[in-house]
Amino acid sequence: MSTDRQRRFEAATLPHLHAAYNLARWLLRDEAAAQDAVQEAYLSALRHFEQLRGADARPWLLGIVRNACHDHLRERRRLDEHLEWDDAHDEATQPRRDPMALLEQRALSERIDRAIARLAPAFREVVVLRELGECSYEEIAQIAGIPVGTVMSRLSRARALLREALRDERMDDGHA
Amino acid sequence: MDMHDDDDLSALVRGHASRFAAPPELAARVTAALAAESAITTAAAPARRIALPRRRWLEGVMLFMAGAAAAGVATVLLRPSAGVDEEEVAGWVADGHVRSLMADHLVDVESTDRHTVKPWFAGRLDFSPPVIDMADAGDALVGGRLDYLGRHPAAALVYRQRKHVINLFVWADAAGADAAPAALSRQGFHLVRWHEQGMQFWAVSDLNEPELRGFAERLRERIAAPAPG
Repeated sequence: MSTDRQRRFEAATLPHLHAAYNLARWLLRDEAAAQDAVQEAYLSALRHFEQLRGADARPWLLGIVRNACHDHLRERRRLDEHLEWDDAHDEATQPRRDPMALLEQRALSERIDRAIARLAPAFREVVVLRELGECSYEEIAQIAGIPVGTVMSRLSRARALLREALRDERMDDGHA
Repeated sequence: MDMHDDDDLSALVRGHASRFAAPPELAARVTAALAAESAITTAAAPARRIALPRRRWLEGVMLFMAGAAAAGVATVLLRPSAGVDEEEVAGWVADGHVRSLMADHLVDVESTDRHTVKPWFAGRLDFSPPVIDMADAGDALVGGRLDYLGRHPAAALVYRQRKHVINLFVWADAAGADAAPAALSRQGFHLVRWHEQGMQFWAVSDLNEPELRGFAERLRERIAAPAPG
């Protein structure tokens, strides 16, 4: 039976389930591991719900999800890995368009996904939080547990790496 | 592919990188884990109520009814008007509202046409909820959904008033007495419940109480005098 506390917790956190999963899925690059991490994070968040004291639940929850993901990464000694992006993992959900546009769209999306996936976790998480999670610098600082200045320098470095990766790929492909 | 500055690169990433939506089973998994966790941490807490005398009385009613009409026993359990537990039902309704607000979960059948929504329920429920569009009065029908309150199936009709979502939960309660709308609140949402034509109606929304009561009154007027067609 659910209690009032649980109901209040769910009302505050369940609306952010998609954001939580997106972050976990990008950090862990594995659907099952992302689901496990999100579940662990929600349980941990419930235990510490009183810490929130009416503040915005989204960055608080994403911070817990992020920490759960890093625990997973550490466990699997994946922090320094450079695994190839597994395209099979990634049935991207693209809007339906005409076939040629869809092909180009897919190709571009795949290249960008691959470039983000190849970033080291510290860079990947700031890009995902900023560009896909639409978090402010302050929120990213709270989520990742780093100063705002570090957020900005990591973001700037991450963008430089992405730009580089996309340019290299373009040359590899032999077309623009 | 323009990416001369950070804004271009941002736009490129925002426009084209994959966003992963939580699979539907994850929400169920997480809420189940949370319920289990809550049950452990609140096991020591005293029960909120002692319902034994009322249950006894209710069992008597149910026995009588089982003889009188075999149908509807399950719905009697969902009868707040019989004093079963309005608090608990209100909690289920508010929970159902929150669940529905999670993306992609609002409606099973998306249509502003009641002639689409009504037949959709026909194969799924053993009663027929009134499906009424009130877009002309500012309450636009968005669609319908099959939901569970407690463990009992209920029709959820989804309306939108301005930017506010209203979930109207309807379930059969043939034995209940008609009751005028009454307002209550749960988890920061307002609820208005009433009973008519052998059904329980529970509307829930983040609209304020007078607005939600207004919605209920408009709906009741049209249930009483259905539009032609």
